[in-house]
Parts: sequence; C-alpha cells; structure tokens
Amino acid sequence: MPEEYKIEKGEVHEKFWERTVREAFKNDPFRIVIELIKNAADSYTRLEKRGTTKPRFEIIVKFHCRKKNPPSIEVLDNAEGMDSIKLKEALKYGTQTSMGEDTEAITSAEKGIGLKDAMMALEDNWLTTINNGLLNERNKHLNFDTGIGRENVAVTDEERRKLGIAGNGTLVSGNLPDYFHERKFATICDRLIHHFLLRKLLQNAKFKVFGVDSDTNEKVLLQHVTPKVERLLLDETFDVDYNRKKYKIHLQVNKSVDALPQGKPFGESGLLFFYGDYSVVDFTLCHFERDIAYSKCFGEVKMEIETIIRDPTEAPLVDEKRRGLDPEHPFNRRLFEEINHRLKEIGEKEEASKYSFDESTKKEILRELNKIYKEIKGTGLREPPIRPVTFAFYPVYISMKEYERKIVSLIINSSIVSEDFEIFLESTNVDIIIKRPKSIKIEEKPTEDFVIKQIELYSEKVGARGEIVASRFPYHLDTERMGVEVVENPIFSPANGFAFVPDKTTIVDGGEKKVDLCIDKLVIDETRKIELVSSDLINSPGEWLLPEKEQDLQKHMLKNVVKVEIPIRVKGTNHIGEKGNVKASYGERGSNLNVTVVSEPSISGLFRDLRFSGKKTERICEFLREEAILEVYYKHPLVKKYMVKNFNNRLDFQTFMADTLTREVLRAFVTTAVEESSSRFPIFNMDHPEAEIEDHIVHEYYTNGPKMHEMFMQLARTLKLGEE
Amino acid sequence: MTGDSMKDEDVIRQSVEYNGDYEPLDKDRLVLFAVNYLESKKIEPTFDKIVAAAFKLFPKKFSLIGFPEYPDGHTIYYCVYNHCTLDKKWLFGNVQSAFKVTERGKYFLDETRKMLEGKIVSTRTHLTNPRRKETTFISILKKTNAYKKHMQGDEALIDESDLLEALRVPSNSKGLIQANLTKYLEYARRINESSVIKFLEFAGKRLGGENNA
Repeated sequence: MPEEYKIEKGEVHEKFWERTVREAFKNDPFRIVIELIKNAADSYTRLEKRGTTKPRFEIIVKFHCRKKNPPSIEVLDNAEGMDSIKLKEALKYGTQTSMGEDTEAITSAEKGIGLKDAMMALEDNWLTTINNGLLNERNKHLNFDTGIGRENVAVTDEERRKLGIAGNGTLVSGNLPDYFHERKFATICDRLIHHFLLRKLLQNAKFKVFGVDSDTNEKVLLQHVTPKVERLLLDETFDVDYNRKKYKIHLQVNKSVDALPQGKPFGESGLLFFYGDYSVVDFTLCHFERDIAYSKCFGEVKMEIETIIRDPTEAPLVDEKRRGLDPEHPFNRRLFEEINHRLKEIGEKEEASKYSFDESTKKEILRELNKIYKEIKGTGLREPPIRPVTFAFYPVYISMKEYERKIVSLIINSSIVSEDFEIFLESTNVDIIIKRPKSIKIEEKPTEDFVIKQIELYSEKVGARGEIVASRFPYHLDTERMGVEVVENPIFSPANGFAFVPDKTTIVDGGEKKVDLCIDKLVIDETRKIELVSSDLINSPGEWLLPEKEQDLQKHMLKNVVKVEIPIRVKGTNHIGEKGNVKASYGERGSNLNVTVVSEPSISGLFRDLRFSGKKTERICEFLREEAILEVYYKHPLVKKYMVKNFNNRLDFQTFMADTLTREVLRAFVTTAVEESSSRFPIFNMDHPEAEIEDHIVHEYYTNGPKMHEMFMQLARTLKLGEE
Repeated sequence: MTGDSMKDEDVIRQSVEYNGDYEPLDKDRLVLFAVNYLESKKIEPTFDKIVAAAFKLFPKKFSLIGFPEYPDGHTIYYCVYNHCTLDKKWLFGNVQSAFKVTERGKYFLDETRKMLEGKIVSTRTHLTNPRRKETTFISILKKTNAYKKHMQGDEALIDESDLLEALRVPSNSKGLIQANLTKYLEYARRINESSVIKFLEFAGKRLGGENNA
C-alpha cells in the first residue's frame, strides 16, 4: 500500500456525500465496483475518440474474497492514465471537468457519481496512475480530503510489472465497505453480469471486462446474455419535445420466451435507458414496473440527450439519490408519458391473448353465430340468384333427407308488393311439412328490389314427393310451385347395422369434431360397450358406453337407430394431408372411419373472432364491427367480480358471460342487419330508429337468446389463462 | 323405320333459331330445353339429334369457335350427359339409350321457359364461348396487370415487362413478341374480344416502337 505524504482539504462537507452518494451505494453496493469499471471504460473511449488507440479494451477487476469481511478490490485499466493536474480535477468536487464516454461533455462533477465517490466508499483506497512515465498516487478520505502519496515520480519497469500497467493506465484499489454483503467470487461475478448499469458495457464488443479471483487466479470474462426473444413487439423512433428542441428516442421492446425477473438492479424484465454507447441511467418499465402482465417485456431506450447532459445549467436527469431518471424532471416526465403510452398499447394487445378460449369450440361457435345471423337477417342470399317478374322459388326442385330440415327461398319482386300483400304456402303432400312460415306477409313497401324469404321444410317420410305451392292473394291467381322429394337419410341404414355415417370425414389440423356412429336398434343386445381404436394421428375415447336403461337408450333413438356422437381429435398440428382412422366394434360388428386432416377453412361472416381482452374500457363487451371481432374486457369491474378462483367452472361466471355475449351479439345482429336494409327488421321512423332497434333486439333475445346462451356457456367453460 | 328417322332429321333441319335472348342462359338449361323440344315433336332425343337440335335452336351458344356453321358436339355432350344427367339429374339416360326429361328436370325446364320468356332473369352470367385454348388464354391475358392498367386508361404506367408478361414472352426471348402477338390477335378476333384486340394493338405499337428504338 502506498504511503501518504500530505493531505489536501476537501471542498464540500461530508454530510453532502452522506446524503447523496453513500445512500446510493448502500442501496446498491455493486455500484462502487461498477463506477470504477465505467471510469476505466470512459478513459478508453476518450482515447479512442482521440484516435490514439483501438479496441479491444481490457479492464481487470480483481477480488480478494474473505469469508468474514467484505472483499478487497483492484480495478485496472491500460487507458489514458492521469497527470497530477487532471488527477486533481477528477478527485475534486464542484469543478467542471470532461467526463463519461462523451469527450465533449463538460459538466459539473456534482452531477453524477464518479471516481471520487467510488473511492470514498472503499476503505484504505488508493489510486495509482501512470501518465507519460510519471506515477501519481492519491486517496480519498471520508471527509473529502485528498491524500497524496508519490507525486509525478518517474516509474520504473519493476513498478510497471507490479502494477500491471505497461504504458499509461490506472489502478484503483481498496476494501469494499461493510454494506457490501457478497463474499463469493462467483456470486459477485454473476451479480455484475446481471447488473443493469453494466449491461450495455458488457454487451459492447469493444470492451473485455474480466473478473479475477486473486486467490485462485481464476479469470472470468463478464458477458451479459440477452433473454431469448420470442418476438419483437415494438421498434420505434420518436421525438420528445423539451425546451423547444426535439430529442430522438429509439425504443425497442421485445417479448421473451420465458417470464423474466423484474426490478432493479438485477432484473431482466424492463427497459434499459441509456445514452451514448453504454451509459445506462435507468432500468424501469415506467408506469408498468413490476406489473406481472409485462414480465416478458424487455428492451432498451436509447436517448440522444447528449446536449442536455452537456448543458451545465441543466438540472440532472438522474435523481439526487441516483436511483434512476428523476421522474420530476420535465424531460423525463415527457419521456415516460410517451413510453407509458406505447407500453399500454403493447399491454392491451398482449393481454388480449393472456386468456384464451378453446380454439375449436370458439370456431364452431363463430360459424354457428354467422349461420344464425344469416337466418335472422332473412337474406341468406344477399344477391338474389334469380330476379322474377313476380315471385319464384329458388331452387325450383329439392331433394331433402328424412328427419332433416331444409331451407328454401321464395324470391319476391318488390314491385308486386302492395297493401295487404300476402303469399300463402301449401304442401301438396301431408308428409312434407312447411315448418315456417305458413304464409308470407309484407306490410311495408320493401326498400330493396327483391325480397328473399326463407321457408323451412321438414319430412320424416322417405320417398315422399310433392310440391310446395305459393299462391298470391287476394285477387290474384298467380301460383308458383317447387318440387320436393324426400330421400333416405343414410344415418338410418348403417352398413351391417353398425357403422360410422358417413364412413369418411375430414378434420381440421389440430382440431376436434364429433362423428356419428349409428347402430340399428335391431342389433343392440345386452352389450353396452362400444370399443374404439384409433390410429396414431387421431385421438378418440377408448370405449363408449350406451345407456344401461332401456328408457335412457330410447332418448338417443331416432327412428330405427341409436345415434352416438363420438369426439375425435387430431394429435398436435402439422398433419395436413395425412390420413388416419378410427375403428369401432360392437360385439362382432365393426366399422371403420377414414379421417383426413385438412387445413383450417377461414371463418367468414359478421363474426371472425371472439377474444378476451385486457383493454380498460367502460364496456363489458363490444363488437368491433370493422374488425369483425367480439371482445370481452376482463378488466371491467363487473367481469373481475365474477373471475374468482376456478371461475370457468362456476355457474355464475358462465351465466354472466353467456348473457353479456348474447345481448351484445344480438345487438350486433340487429344493428348490422338494419344498416344492410334487411327487410327482417322494418323501421317505422327512419330518422330516429333507436327505440325500434331496441325492440327488435329484445324480440331476438327471446327467440334466439336461449340457443346462444347455451353456446356461450359452453364457450365460457373453455376459458383458460396463460396459454398463448 | 328409315323413313321415320329421315322425317325426324328433316324436322330438326327445319328448326329455326330461338327467337329471343338466350345468350345469358347457361348451356345446361338450353340443352334441357332442346331435349324437351324434341320430345314435344315426338322425336326420340338421341344424342345426335340433341346435338343438332341444340345447335339449330341456339347456334350462338353451341357452335365451334371460328366455325359458326358447325355444332360443338363436345360441349353438348358434356351438358347433356355429365351435367344434366349425372350431376343435376334433369335428364335420364345415356348416349346408348337416348335421354328423357325427369320429374325434377320438368321443374327446371319450366323455370328455363320463364327465363327465355323474360319472366325470370338469372343474375349469373354464363360464357357463350366454350372453354378452348382461345378462351382460356384470352381469359388469362385479361387478368394481367398490363391489360388491367390498359382498361383503366393507365397506359403510361404500363412498362415493357408488363407487356411481355401479358404476351407470355420471357424477357430473354424477345424474338417471340411478334409470333405471340399474332397468335393472341387471332384468338381475340376468333372469339370477338374487341377490348382485347385494342389492347393487343396497343401492345404491338409500344413493343414495336421500343424495338425500333
């Protein structure tokens, strides 16, 4: 250890240091080491900017670790070194000096933690520096006095070897203070690697920072590895207006594959605020700090703020206790506002996928909704395929399956619609039933040129033939006819009395569906077990049990068969085009279902998606017409109220969801149909249709509500958290 | 027997083109109508008679491209057997057994009559020309950027590569320009595509001018 020959009095009272720097170091003692490393790095950078040296720049941080006491430390660089004049400036408070990685930055030494602060935090500290062959030794006392050892002494080769400084350079040594609690070399290195203040420097290829265990001579290159990126969420450059100037900010936000630890100083989830190449000033997610929803967000904010840093009249951007950017500084306030706004948008998008419905159930429901909408609107065919002078059936002849309803259209030319216009519908065969409507009334003159009315037919009599006759009354003898034949429904004649109907099917890649297994009642005996075996590609239940009691079995009976719906599922994804099968056997009878995996058809219609969103709105649920998306906002207080433990299995949650979604969907149906001039929803007062629209919605709620409730209850049960 | 057959053929020969706008209708319906026409004349609808009758009644729909005086038996075969019989089941029968309008077919025949009389208008448009090489390639040409820009009046935006693409000339085989242009013009004239003819004339001028330059 050098010898102290004289003392230079300090410039400020030690209370100042107590109040500011020591506080900062106590909160985060690694900053002492980091300040010394950064000081060495800055010295290299200044040399590089002057063009006198090129990378790579080595900084050696030696630790002598002891079990019961804090480690001692030596930080060595081979950078510019300091002569006695520069040394005096560097260790003095209140003067202006060039500092940091920016050689043009002349700023008050009071503004940042620097070399002298780090030295003061070290017990028995000494700084030895060589510049142009002259050696200087200094130390800092806790009362700000500067101790002076050798001054401008010519350095010998032996001394150089001992110090490890071949040309110019600096060595700072001392004992870390009591509040530095780490004792193990490996832990200290790990902490330094993860410390946010050192992160940019360790990522910088120009610098090599080595940790050395002085006891074992183990040498570790300190390197920071960025978390694995799942995807880039945002990469944007924007300006922050401050004092009539614009400052460029480059913001990059990534989403990591795994959730990251949060918070300073060792967290990974957050934004690294820095300027220059490696001068980190903060690590925070602003308003969203420690918000679990952002635990996969990380990135950096590069600030082109050198002019603010250089301005000696400007208040420091970093707060007095060096915790990070001062939130009260007007520049920081604006910067945080801009970033909060962007993080909020990211959060909303990300949180939309935080909860998810079961995909196949959701798609099934979306398709069903679009089908119901077509039916409700009354114009399944928006553009009539034919334009009759009066009215005509479309198509003019149909084959329908027994026990299955069939929809046909009657297209009416609006020009023939007058007061009391009515068309009566009649079937010439009693076995062919017109389910609805029995007659068609149009009371108001339609706005479209043609009105399409849907007619639902049904028959249970295979082989029945007949006509549906549409007659226009009163005072007209116009009649139109359509032919109907009822054909056999293949579900009633399963091959060998036990078969999948149909015996081949397609299934969406990664999806699931139900297939019909039909059993003729004549082949059902005491056995109740149906065995199922599927190929590797397909997942199906291993067996299916028919109801034990005869009366329960009757409930599944349709005409002469028992129809069982067997769920099947594709194992995993990426099987498009592959084929599989499911074999069912009942006693000695068997049936084979061939399954082909196909790509998913796109959903078209009024609703294309349904999602649980994290947006904060005053609404519980909203149909976004332009995007064709139905959103439910789980941050709404009423939704939150129902989202308690195991919410998706709770009847109150399911009912609440079902009712909310049903009402919103029906509102969307009616308002959209009215806008599309559907004749299904006549509006008397076109200037103020709101009340009438509400009436239509209520009406639809009573007619279509129960069916939708059931669908949405089913959907609510599939809501799950965390699978994105 | 021979005399009866001759009589049928004479009846068909004497048939005249349907007096009405039949071009918007699809060919299957017109074939159905022709079969019923034969039945109504007590002529057995054998395949050859259907071909002759369909052509006599609706020559604009059933003639060969470039040969309006000859019937397009190939197209009529597809309509009568593949479509009307196998798919739509408007007819019953086959080429060996002759054809017959089914119960189902009667409803569509009735609808077809109404369409021919203008009581019902079909909103779908149907091709008049059969799908042959000429229609196929002119149809592809109509989908090219150069043709679309030409139709929008954006001729200034059409560059040489657009035109070469439209004429299916690889950029390293510019010697094909004249040959392809001639062939396309021939096809367009044969199927009476006046807008395509104009486009090809424009393409000829533009490419010819550039070549000379």
